[in-house]
Amino acid sequence: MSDTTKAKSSRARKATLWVLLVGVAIGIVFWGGFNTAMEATNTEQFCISCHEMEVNVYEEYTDTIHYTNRTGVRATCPDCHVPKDWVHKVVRKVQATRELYHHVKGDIDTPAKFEAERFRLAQNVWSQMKKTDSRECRNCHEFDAMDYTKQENRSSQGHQDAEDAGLTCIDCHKGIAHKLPMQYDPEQDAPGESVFYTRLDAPHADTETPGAQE
Amino acid sequence: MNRPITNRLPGLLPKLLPRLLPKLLPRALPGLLPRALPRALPRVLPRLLPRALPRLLLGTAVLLVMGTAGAEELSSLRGHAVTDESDAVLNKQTLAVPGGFEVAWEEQPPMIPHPIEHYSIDLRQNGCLKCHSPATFEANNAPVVADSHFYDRDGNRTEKVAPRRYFCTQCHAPQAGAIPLVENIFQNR
Repeated sequence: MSDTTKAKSSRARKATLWVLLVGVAIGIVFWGGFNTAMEATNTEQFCISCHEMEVNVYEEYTDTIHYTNRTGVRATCPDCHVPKDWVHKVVRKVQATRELYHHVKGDIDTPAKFEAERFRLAQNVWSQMKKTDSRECRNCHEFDAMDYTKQENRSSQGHQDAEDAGLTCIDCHKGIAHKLPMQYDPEQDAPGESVFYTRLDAPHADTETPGAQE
Repeated sequence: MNRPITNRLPGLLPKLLPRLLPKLLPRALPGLLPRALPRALPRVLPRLLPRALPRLLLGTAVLLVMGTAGAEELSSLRGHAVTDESDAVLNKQTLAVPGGFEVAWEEQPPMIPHPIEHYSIDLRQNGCLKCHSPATFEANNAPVVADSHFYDRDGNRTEKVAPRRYFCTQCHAPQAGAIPLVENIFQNR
């Protein structure tokens, strides 16, 4: 090999190295930026920066055990409403763009407007949780991690029965962090026989709430 | 026997007066008082008042003292108002008793043997019915609302729990692990 080809190849190698380095640096900045931005939207502060969230769902959540309790552990909005793993999180974030549209339109910006839509919105969440086997609950609560002997008799029996029957958290624990809708009838919500997952199969074919069409 | 009535009057009067007065006075008083009082009062009062006033004042004072003292003495068996939040008993955890409590008297509404803090009974719904309604009690392995709760006051059967029975906690109460203040010797049949 001649000197010129040697020099050429060493220059080419240097260039490649530079391109790689710069590429990695840009990648880190962009990826980090993207993730930082996404995490910023994943805070309670961000959630309640919207008026409809603060006066409706946040307000009523502050009365519940997920906000204040004896151990001082708090589950904030994204802990229950945004998946933890990356793929599902991004999917949820993309879906949330629709919420931006309705925010701008002001569809639920008063308690009265929100109340009119509550049943439909609640069923959306219930159906979703039923479909995902209450994935977000299970970030903290798992059958495997439960010590049934430490639970109250009813809970212990209930949890074991539910595990055997293949039920999921939301089958029994509806309305634990927010008020239940007016149309929700506890008598129609026996574990495993609930009628409130109607939106599971046809998420937009709502006929039960008059005037709740999107 | 044949003495004139005027002679016998002094002996009879003490016996008759107590019987007559209650009958006569209510009829006579409204006529007499308005005329007699204005004339009698100016003459009687100056003589009575110097003697009565100290006693009157003293009596009022005694009543006042007794009244306030009485209010302080009036208290529950626990020694204070049952809503006093400093009472440790009020902050005791609700008991969870598998199988429920024995009743403490005949026809007592069964007591609630588990905590109910996170269930609400309100305009929206009755959280108790999630497990205790006829539709759900089997799936939840819970006692069902008694049939008597499905009648209105006129004896008509209602489709759902009758409105007058809707607020479960009006009669059914959860229990704290507090020592009973009064012994109960009731024996369940």
